[in-house]
Amino acid sequence: MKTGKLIILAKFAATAIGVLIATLVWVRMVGLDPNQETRTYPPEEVESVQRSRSILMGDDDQPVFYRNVDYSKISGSRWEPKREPPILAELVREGKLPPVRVRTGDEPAVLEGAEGIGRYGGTWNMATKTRMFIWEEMSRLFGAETLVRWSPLGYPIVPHVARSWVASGDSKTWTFQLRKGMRWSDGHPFTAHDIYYWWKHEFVYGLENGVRMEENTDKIIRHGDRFGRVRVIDKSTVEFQFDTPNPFFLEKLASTYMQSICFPRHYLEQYHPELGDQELIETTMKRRGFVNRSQLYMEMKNENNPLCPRLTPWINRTYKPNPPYSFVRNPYYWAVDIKGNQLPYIDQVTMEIQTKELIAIDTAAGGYPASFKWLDFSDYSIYMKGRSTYGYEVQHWYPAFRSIWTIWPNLNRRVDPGDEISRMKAELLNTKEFIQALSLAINRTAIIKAEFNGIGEPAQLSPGRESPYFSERLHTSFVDYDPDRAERMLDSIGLTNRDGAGYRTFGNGDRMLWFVTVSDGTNPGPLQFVIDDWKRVGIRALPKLQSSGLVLLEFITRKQDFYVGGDMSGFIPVIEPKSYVPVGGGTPFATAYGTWYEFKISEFATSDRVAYPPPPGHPLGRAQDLYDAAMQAPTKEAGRQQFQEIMDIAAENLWGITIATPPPQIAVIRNDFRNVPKKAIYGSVFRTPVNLASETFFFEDYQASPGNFDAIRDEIETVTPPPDSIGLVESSPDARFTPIGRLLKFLFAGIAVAAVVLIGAKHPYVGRRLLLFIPMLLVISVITFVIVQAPPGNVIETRLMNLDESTSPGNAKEIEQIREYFHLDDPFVIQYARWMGFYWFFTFSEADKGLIQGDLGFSLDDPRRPQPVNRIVGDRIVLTFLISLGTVLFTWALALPIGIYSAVRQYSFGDYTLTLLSFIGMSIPGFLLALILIYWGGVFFDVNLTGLFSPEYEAQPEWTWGKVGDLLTHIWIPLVVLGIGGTAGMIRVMRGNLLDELSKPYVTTARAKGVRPVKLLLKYPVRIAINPFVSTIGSLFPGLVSGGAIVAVVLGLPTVGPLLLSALLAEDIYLAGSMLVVLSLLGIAGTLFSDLLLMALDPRIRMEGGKR
Amino acid sequence: MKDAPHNHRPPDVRPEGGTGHDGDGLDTGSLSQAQLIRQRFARHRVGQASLYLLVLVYFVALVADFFAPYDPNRRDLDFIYAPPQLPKFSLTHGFHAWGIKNHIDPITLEKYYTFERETIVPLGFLARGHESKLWGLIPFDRHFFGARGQSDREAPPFFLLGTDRYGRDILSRVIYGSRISLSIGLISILVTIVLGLTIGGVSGYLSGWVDNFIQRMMEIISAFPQLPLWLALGAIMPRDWSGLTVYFAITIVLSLLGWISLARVVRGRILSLREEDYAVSALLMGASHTRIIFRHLLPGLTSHIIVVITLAIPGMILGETSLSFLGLGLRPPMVSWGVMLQDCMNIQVLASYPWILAPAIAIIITVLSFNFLGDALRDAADPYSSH
Repeated sequence: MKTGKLIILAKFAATAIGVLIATLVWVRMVGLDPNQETRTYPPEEVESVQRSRSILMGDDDQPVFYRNVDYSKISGSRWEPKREPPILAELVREGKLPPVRVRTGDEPAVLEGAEGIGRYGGTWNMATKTRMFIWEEMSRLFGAETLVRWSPLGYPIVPHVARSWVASGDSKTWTFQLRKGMRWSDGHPFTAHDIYYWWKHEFVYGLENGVRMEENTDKIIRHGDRFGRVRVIDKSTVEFQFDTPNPFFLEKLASTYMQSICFPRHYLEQYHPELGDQELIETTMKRRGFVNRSQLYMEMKNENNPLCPRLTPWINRTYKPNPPYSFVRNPYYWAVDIKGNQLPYIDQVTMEIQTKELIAIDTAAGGYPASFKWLDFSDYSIYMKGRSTYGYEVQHWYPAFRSIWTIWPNLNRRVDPGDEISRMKAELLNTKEFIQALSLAINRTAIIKAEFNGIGEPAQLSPGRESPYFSERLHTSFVDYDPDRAERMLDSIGLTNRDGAGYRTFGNGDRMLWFVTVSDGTNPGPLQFVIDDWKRVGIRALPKLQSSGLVLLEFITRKQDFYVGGDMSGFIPVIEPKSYVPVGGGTPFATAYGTWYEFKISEFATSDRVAYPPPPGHPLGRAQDLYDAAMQAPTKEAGRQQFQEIMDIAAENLWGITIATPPPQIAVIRNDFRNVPKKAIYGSVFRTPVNLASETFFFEDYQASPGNFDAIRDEIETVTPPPDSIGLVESSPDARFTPIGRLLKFLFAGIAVAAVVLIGAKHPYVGRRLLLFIPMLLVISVITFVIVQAPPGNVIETRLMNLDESTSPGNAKEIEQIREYFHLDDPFVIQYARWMGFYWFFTFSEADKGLIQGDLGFSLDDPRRPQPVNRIVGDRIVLTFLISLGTVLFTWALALPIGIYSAVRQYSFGDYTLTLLSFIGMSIPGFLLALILIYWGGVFFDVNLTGLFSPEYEAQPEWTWGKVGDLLTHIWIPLVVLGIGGTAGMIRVMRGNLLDELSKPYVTTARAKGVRPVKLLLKYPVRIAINPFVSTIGSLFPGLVSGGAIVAVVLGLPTVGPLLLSALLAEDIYLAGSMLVVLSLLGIAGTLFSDLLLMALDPRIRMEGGKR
Repeated sequence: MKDAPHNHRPPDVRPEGGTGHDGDGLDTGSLSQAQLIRQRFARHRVGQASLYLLVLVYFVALVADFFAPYDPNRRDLDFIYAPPQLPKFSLTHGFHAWGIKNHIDPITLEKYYTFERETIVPLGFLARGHESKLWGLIPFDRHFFGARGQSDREAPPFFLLGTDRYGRDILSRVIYGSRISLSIGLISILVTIVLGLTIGGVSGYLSGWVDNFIQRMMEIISAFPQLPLWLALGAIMPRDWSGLTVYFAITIVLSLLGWISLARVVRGRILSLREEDYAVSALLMGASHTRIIFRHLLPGLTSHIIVVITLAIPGMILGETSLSFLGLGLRPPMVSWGVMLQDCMNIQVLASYPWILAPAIAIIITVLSFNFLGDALRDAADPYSSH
């Protein structure tokens, strides 16, 4: 059969040629346009952009928004507070607020925005990536409760809460004048006594009693080895006294890692363990479920408590467990513009949580008025290209952080007894030649080219050329690309042995593998280059990408080898020197040394395992001493010189490995959002955007929906406090149970009852199916539990480790409590039983409720604040169900007629086309289809189609037609994407079954007898063909529910899928486990439903008792 | 999703032999079932074409080292996001392509390219290129088609499908990636077949309470949502597993749920075939159970098995794609189509550099071919039905 073989060969050749031609067509289509020419622009434009990009700090542009005025001449002055926003004006008219002059007080801060007077109104919508730090971020965004603050480019430091200040000649005594008539957000006067309260009853009380009543304010009041003292001179004058000169006190006060020192005494006093109303404390503790008083106190202060008065321009009035969060204007804000308009101009700020990719996409499409925090420079081109289309400007700000990508070795790496590897690792990490060699091995130029768009020069971390603290020596230390020298250095410290794969081993021959931890907020791009570079010199390393929560936990427990982070210190390192000298637990390269330093003067007992000083003679010990000297130097200049030596030590020893100088910080500012300075210094030390005077930002022409006005008004007027139970111990009954929980509860109860009834009523088939539900649930939950518990070192364990070793003595009790609550000491089976809620059947007590009763457990994503899963999940389950249901209906509606058509017109052109299309639909991965559709939407319809709503409508509470329309424009993508695969399959099934039926004799008979075709079609064959069609729908549901997960992740839909994914990545076991079970249940419910439907439709099944 | 519907009845199997004709007038006379199937299949043009395409694709994947002009992890930072270059033919230069030059837009810092017609990149078959080892064993340095280098220096680069964000040749990555993506499908299928055949066979053959129990278990396990299960399993894989270990772990994960549909079909067929006269007579004549299963029942299954697995492979491929895309599957430096798709997540990048969608096209074509093939086989597998 030679010809046969030849024919086959010929067919192969034909196929190959076909593929080749198709490839060439593709290349022609997407390849380079042969007429593409070099782009040219008018030289002035190029020059101006390049200037803007490279000169970030000039001498000519020092915007200062603060205006010094003579407060004695307030009456009749231009800046006298006289005008206010319409929302507040309405409240004043109704007698609910006092007039504006009373609210701002007699000595308000007078500010002028970068572009002048603004307009009232608008909602500033923002998004952030991390759920965990959201409250800290909010406080940083608004943190107006500092006495002084920075200006847009750093200096000068201007008055803020304080009106003016005077320092004694020796810098030991600082006296601040506060503002007369200034009030808290509830109208109560703000006085020096509030500051004294912080010092005496929070800080000193905490020190003396070993409890934590404040967070991080010790950095303000601590000076050298002592603490300063606060004295009230009069109602509006407060004095800080230190034992040694404190030349940098103002800088400390203005910088952000410090929390506020102004606290509302009148509110917090009642919850104070010593001064407070004991009965109130007891009741609240019980109702809210706290076990100790300091925990309760801290929660009362927390930003998520709308009842606590604030001084910030926008305040939280409505407690919400889940984002989006809303902050409305503070009616008592104590600042005006130069024409006497009370600030802020903007009515409301909302905050949503989004993935970084989606934030970038929304930013590029102009979805946010001002976006800067989560933008990567690698997306620069995208933002620049979108400027005119979407109406925004791209500002280049000076990055205060001098590195966006630094590899920090962990000098205090945890050594577990008996774990030789950890000991050897710790030893190497502390060998300076090792780190230096690793630095020399890196080809920085390549990384800059590939990852940073060519912007930046190779450098180690140093404060930046423009800074008075710049150190050339540190800047260029070990920055050359010299792999040969690196290899020699590695050889010289004894790493001469290699393993089979060519990597160096430990001295004793053990395999050496280093992990470099990267959190999900950091760009992992450069890491691959670094790993390849290290490979070339024989060092084996792997990236470890983790969620921020996990990274933090592992950082605190010192389990990391290397950790990729940024610069901690910034432009003025004396304020926050942790990149160069360990002075606090957050020191990225030596957390234990830093923690020791932080607590050495306090009376908190610290465990030796977690806090210890640098060994005698260690350069970091010297650095710490130098730092002490610098902070207490007689003048700032003297301090600066002391600090120089710290930089020299860092140059010698290399505490971190940095790649390059940072690119400019990109800020995408929409054209309708005004008063944002074009040049600014961006950094958390400078509290961007507080240093930009964010209260002077305004919208050019904000179109608010009518409901918006009322909604904000209501929010300002009425405070919505948190419900009764947060905290670990749930005492109040239905507090945790949202409608979803109740739904689940009834679902189970209902099924049990229905099963019994139906069995009795002689439908054994259905009854059996329903009863099967229970073993199904059991098996699924067991498997889920096993899977979820599988990874070692899950969040709970790590959290415990963290608590166990951290410094606060109150923690021993908390650990006990957590162990008990999560039953961690119980055997596996018991833990499972508790999670499921089996015990409830015996005790009927609230505390024993579990999955079966609808209680989905706790999420430990933010380990400090466990959240009931029910609340987090909230609407997601309903939404998942609705989208799946919608898709099923969509599929059915489409597949039925198309399938019938295909069968009836078999082999026609229409049939072939539809077949082809449906196959293609089945072959495209769902998420890819979603991307393509979003892309088309963006390019052809100019619409951003991610998520379920556009950012503007997200904030809008009421359902206008606009909002409905917006939903419809977004929802068709998930429906189509999810539905296409299923539709294609269903079409084939329908077609096949119908063809089967149509060839049967009875059809021919009917046609012969003259029955009309359509009637014939619908009456018999279709009804029979539908049978398997319906049963296939049953299997559709689980497929949808599961496949929908990925599509939802890509599209940013608020359904169960993305939550499951993030829970898995964060090792949030209860959340992940519950979500898995919920998804399975949804799938089963769908199958069950379809079986019931089938029974109803097909009498044969009913009769035969379901033998199919 | 590719399940046969729950109550799919096995096709009417009439005893073989006889001198009948099937619905299309073909002589079913004296041909064996296998030959009949092949004949019907041959008439299904699209299915045939798909078969050839898939064989071609697998062949290229097998000999990836030869077909791929560059190492898949080779970075050329001077040619980041370079567009595809069209090869031309002229009598003076033979096969060649125009050189490309990279530029950076001074305003947006975007990288773009223009043709540099003066630079001719000579191309040819069996061109000398980078050192590579066929299957890691046989060293050679000539590749199927690529830029010809001089003896003393390397050729100017030629990227048929363009490059990605690190200047890596997309064509090479697609070819090497096909190895992983396609083989994962095959190996998972093997596991699936073993599991499905054994369990389904046991269930169907033994029936009684064993059958019942196994059926219930299958129902329960199939209630697990597929993708979330994969996600969960992907998430718990330790970070320090080597690429190969991860690869095998993924194949097992993917087949964990897939065997169920095969088991169902096998069980159904065995149940019906068991009652056939020939099987009963073999039993009565004293044949051992093993012989009955292998000699008599299994052949009746083959066509069904082939159909089911052909339709299941695309699911596996898509599964691996999804997992790797989410970062839970294979990780760099391993290359698979799913890993390559991670770069496509950025819409702006897609808009500016659409050629990075090449792996998506490859996936679609492969899955499409499998679907067509499976469909054709399914139609052909029932030689006695009427359409």
